[in-house]
Amino acid sequence: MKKAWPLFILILFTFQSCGFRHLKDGSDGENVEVSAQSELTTSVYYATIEKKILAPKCLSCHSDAGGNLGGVNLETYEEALKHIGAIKQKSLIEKSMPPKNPLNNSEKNLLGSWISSGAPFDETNQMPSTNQNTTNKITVTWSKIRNEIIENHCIQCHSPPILNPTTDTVSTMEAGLDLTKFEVVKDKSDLIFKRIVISNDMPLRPYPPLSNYEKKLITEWMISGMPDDVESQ
Amino acid sequence: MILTSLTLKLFINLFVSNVWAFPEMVTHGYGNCISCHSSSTGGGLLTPYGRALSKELLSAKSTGPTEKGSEQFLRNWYTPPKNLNIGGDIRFMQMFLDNQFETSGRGLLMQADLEAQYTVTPKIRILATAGRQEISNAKKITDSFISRRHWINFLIGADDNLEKYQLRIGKFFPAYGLNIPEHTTVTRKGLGFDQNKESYNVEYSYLGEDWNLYLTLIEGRPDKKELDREEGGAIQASYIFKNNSKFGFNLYTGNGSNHPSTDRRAMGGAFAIFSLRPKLYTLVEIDRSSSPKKSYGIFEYAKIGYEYLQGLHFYVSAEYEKPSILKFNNSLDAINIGVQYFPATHWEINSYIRRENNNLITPTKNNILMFLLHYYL
Repeated sequence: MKKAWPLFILILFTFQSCGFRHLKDGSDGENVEVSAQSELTTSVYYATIEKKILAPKCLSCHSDAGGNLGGVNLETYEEALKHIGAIKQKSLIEKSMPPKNPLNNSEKNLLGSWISSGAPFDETNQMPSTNQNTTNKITVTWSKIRNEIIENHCIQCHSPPILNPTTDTVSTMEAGLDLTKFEVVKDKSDLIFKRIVISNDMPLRPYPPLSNYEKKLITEWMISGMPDDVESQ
Repeated sequence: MILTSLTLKLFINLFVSNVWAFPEMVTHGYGNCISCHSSSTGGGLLTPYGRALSKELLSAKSTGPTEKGSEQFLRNWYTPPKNLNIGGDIRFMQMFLDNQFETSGRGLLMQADLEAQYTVTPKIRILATAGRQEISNAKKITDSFISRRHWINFLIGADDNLEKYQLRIGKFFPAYGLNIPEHTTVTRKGLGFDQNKESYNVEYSYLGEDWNLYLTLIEGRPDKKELDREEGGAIQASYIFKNNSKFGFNLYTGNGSNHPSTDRRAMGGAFAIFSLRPKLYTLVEIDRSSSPKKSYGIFEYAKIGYEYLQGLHFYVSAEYEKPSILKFNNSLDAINIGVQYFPATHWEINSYIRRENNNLITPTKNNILMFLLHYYL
């Protein structure tokens, strides 16, 4: 069995050398190498970052299921924005994150491009206003959210059982959620954001999803602390 | 074709023997882990008897001429002093992953540990491991050196049966569920018993002929509070029946050292190892975990294996995890089809394909091909 030792070492080095990674283009499911250049010729939005970097590289640790290591949760756009400085520092400057499976050059370029362009959520939200010290007037309030989003998309299912005279249907308060109440929406904001913006599977089909404008609206409202009603400067 | 078939049948009839494979050892009359391991809960350092069994009954090589002393430490190149028992594990993993995001391959030296036990007196033993780990800022691991386990073990049974009652103080996993080496399964990793998650404990164990009982006081990691490991307690009781099967029950409660007591987690479950036929065995575990934030969750593991030839096992295992019933689309299910081969004394090759629907974070359908190479020193 002394012959086994060289074999072991050979196998070990053979295995050690077998590391590779090809990212996929989610649109057609084909195996493609990510071209940093092609990514950078167009704007990068949160959906791409979430799919290609946050989900495969970060959420195994920085999520509820992963234990929120370091007290960091990156499951939502809102949470990612809170930690955008740390993400940049740890992933692009110190290169200490992710610790076991660091970003390749394509991913670094992708992430760097997204951050340097203001970490936009989508094309309608090039520079989300996260800085509370700016003089931008915050106009998105609970009233606006309720009137423009909740009333149009949510209350058919998530409100107390009342007859809707417009649709002639009775709502059923699915999942026990009454989204006509500000407190409920605020309490479930993470879940709501995840379902209507990230996974985009709510409202359940065949009901239409939120438009990009509506997604931007609710995102800004949540980022600004979910103000209850009319806000001043 | 007929000749091939006859040759195969003759080969099988000549060389097949009983099923031997890690926790499945129970299926052949070794209900107590201390038959083969220094640890009362199994795994790690082998006793001299465990080394002998691994050569004679576990590996395929022993069906033919075997090298004398191949089961000894470093294949008998070095003989430790009388009171010192030394072993160690080297594990290497190669994984190929395919999902909707990527196709990747990754090789990793999972484990390189030395493990030694010193018998101070017939009733007192000290054991420690020394190995390497990967530095991880995210996991607050700053030192590549690691001692995964170290403890002092007091054998407090009567003089004619010292090991029947034991008191163990040190760093190790509390007795809970099936102590299988696949640490990423939902009943290990999912329940918080992943690699390097050992804690400091005080364990009292009763290791009888039929019943085993473990009472564990879990102290977490008082040396590294920042790791936020759980403190609490665990109870495991198991019963060996028909001399080849075992079932048991677990209770566990724990609370992260940096969390308020309202975050306390409680778990309960049952497990079993059954010998269905001389070569056919199954392992089952089901657990229920509850915590104030997540309500309760379910964790299930089941494996059925068949030893086709001595040292060659084929198996299918299934896993299911739903950590919180409060969360929609929050589950993982997987099925693994694999082969485990012990080609020579202390060598192990384990390979499986895994189909996994992982909805714990982002819905992902993973196809995984895994190779594990293990050598026990």
